[in-house]
Amino acid sequence: MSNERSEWDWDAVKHALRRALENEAVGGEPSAESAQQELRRRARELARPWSLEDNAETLSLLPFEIEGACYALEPDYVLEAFAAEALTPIPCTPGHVAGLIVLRGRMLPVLDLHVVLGMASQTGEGRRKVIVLSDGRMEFGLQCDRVLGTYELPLAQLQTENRGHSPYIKGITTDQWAVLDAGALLGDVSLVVDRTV
Amino acid sequence: MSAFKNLKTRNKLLATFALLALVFTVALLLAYRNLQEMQQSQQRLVDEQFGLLLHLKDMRVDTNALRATLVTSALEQRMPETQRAGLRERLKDQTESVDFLVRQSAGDSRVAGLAETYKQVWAEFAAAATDEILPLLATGQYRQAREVILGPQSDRVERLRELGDQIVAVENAHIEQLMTQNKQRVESQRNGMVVVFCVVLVLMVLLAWVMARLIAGPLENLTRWAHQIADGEVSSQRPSEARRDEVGLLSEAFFDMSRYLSDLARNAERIAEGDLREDPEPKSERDALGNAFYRMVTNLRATLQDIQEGSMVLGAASQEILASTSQVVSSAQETATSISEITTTVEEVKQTASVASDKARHVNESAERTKQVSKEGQAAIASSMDGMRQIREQMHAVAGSIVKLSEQSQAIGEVVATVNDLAEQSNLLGVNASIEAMRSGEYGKGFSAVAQEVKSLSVQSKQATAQVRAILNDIQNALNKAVMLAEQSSKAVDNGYQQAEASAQAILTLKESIEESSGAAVHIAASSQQQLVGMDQVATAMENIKQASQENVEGTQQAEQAARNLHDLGKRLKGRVSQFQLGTASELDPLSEGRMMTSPPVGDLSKKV
Repeated sequence: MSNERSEWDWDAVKHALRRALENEAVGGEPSAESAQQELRRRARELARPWSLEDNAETLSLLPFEIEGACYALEPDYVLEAFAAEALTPIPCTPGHVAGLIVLRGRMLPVLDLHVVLGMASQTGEGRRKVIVLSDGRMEFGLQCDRVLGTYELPLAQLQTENRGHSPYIKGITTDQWAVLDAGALLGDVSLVVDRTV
Repeated sequence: MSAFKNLKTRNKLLATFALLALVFTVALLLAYRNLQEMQQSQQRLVDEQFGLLLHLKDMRVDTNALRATLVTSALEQRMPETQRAGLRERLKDQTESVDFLVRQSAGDSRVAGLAETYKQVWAEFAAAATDEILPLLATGQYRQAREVILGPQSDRVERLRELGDQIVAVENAHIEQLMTQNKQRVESQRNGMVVVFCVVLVLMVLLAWVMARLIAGPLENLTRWAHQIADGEVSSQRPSEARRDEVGLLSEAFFDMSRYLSDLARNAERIAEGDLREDPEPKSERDALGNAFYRMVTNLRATLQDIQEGSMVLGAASQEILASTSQVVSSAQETATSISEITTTVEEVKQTASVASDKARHVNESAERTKQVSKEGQAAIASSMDGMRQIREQMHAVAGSIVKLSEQSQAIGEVVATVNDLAEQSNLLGVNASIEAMRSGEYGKGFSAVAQEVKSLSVQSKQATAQVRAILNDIQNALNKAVMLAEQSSKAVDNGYQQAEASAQAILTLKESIEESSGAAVHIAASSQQQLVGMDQVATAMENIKQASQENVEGTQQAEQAARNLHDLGKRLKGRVSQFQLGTASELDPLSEGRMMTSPPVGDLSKKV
């Protein structure tokens, strides 16, 4: 212990602490150098030309993640995304129904996409994001781990072949995103639970 | 021949000599007779023939002398009476001589006629001389006498001379013939003698050979036999030839001697084979060898019995000795091994003692140094107590700061959680805004960029908060550790302080102990030096003991070997003695019987052995 301590450069430690105190005194603002660097980086990013928009037809997609697997939805059927506070499980429902959630005074069923797609699912615990889908008649939420935002995908990058046997998947992107058919999901009556207990 | 053989040798020799003497005598007699014949013949020759011739010669000389006397008388013309008487006497003698001649030659026909004639002529001559001449002379008629003498008388003389010559010639021829006869006879006699001598010689040789064959041959055989006996080759073979002479008797005697010797040899052989049951009977009191054998067998039997008993005792004793020496050897070996181990141990102990002595010296020096050091330590512990006190105060201050820091980091954590929540919400807001923008189509595009930017910012702030949270996590972990360490250190320092106090006390006690132990170390050093010297002596003594025990082992091994040899000897002796059969000994020797009774039976002893 004594050796470790003796190896420490006490002067360096003192200097670092003094600088931190000085920063604090300025008001939490980053230093001029770091601010300059950050600003330059952002400028370069913005200056990048948006070439895809002009040349090719694109498909707007809303990608999200479930257990590390990436899926994407066409934003046409998406109402919104929000962070769920508490999911109420419904007893006597099939496995794909994760539970109920109250959204601004409305009751919204939430589905587990992995169960719907016939994949083994872990517990829905921790999936705090819900994407709300609606076609005007049917409305439900999809549990997910993370919403990645919107994305413009060139159509050339979407493979509609080899998309598997699932009726809910429209295609696979080159980044291995499974592009979901939101209309098919919403129109599938098999997902509707009409049961009296 | 066998009869001759059976004759005594003396008689044989006498007979042979007699035979030889007889033959010699016969031969000599023959020779003598021949010589006598020769002599007689020679004598006869001399007597008859040569006597006649001499007689004749004498007569002629006398005749001539008579005539000469007459002539001389006639010529001298004197003739005394005495001379005439002498003449007459001489004539008369001459006449007798002529008669003698006639007589002598009567046996020989050739001479007899001539002698007769000579006698007639002589008678005429004598008559003429007596009757004519002498009377003439006596009367002095010398001339007439001369005429008569030179006339007829001279013719008659001439006639007589011729006759005498004839007789001489005849006699000479006769003598020549007789000489030749004699010569032939001598020749034949000589040849006969040679033959006889040859025969005698052959006979002698033959006799000598026969005698040699009869006497010397068997004697040679006997000599050979005697030599064989002298060389120890005894055979009781009876001689094939049975004779009653000295040679035969000698052979018999030799045969008896040989039989006697072979009997002795058989006895000796039996004794050699160990059969002592029978006693050899001496032939007489003067039988030196037989008596010696008898005594030898009796003595041998007694000796063997003694040896038998002795070998039994020796066997048992040697067995016990062997067992004892074996035990002794094994004990000695064990002892030697133990002593060797002890020696090694002592050597090790000595080494240890040496090391201990060194150590003690070292300890002594160390104790001196320690004493010094403990003095210094006492001073040092006083100053370290001061230091410890300061450390305790500072440590308390550090712990207070760390506790404060921990509280503040928790406040930071809460702030960061709030910021993270904000970032999450702004992210969702951005997403929703972009969804709305998409749904708004072309018109929402600008809004979409803004929404994207909002979302990007929210993502960045979320990342920043995540970083902050991570750093804060680290800080909090570190602080947790620091708090724990500070707590532990504080307690440790407190403990340390107390322990330092205790150690100060301990060092003080230690100092006193060290001073005591320093004194003890001096004693130990001295003692261990003495111990080392003692151990050296012990090691030397042990080495001597080891050597002695080694020698002891060798000695006992030799003793064991000797005992084994003795045992073997006893066994061998017993085996040798058991080869002898002493069956009849007890019957013959009452003394030995008594000894046998007192000694234990053989079987029991051998079983015991």
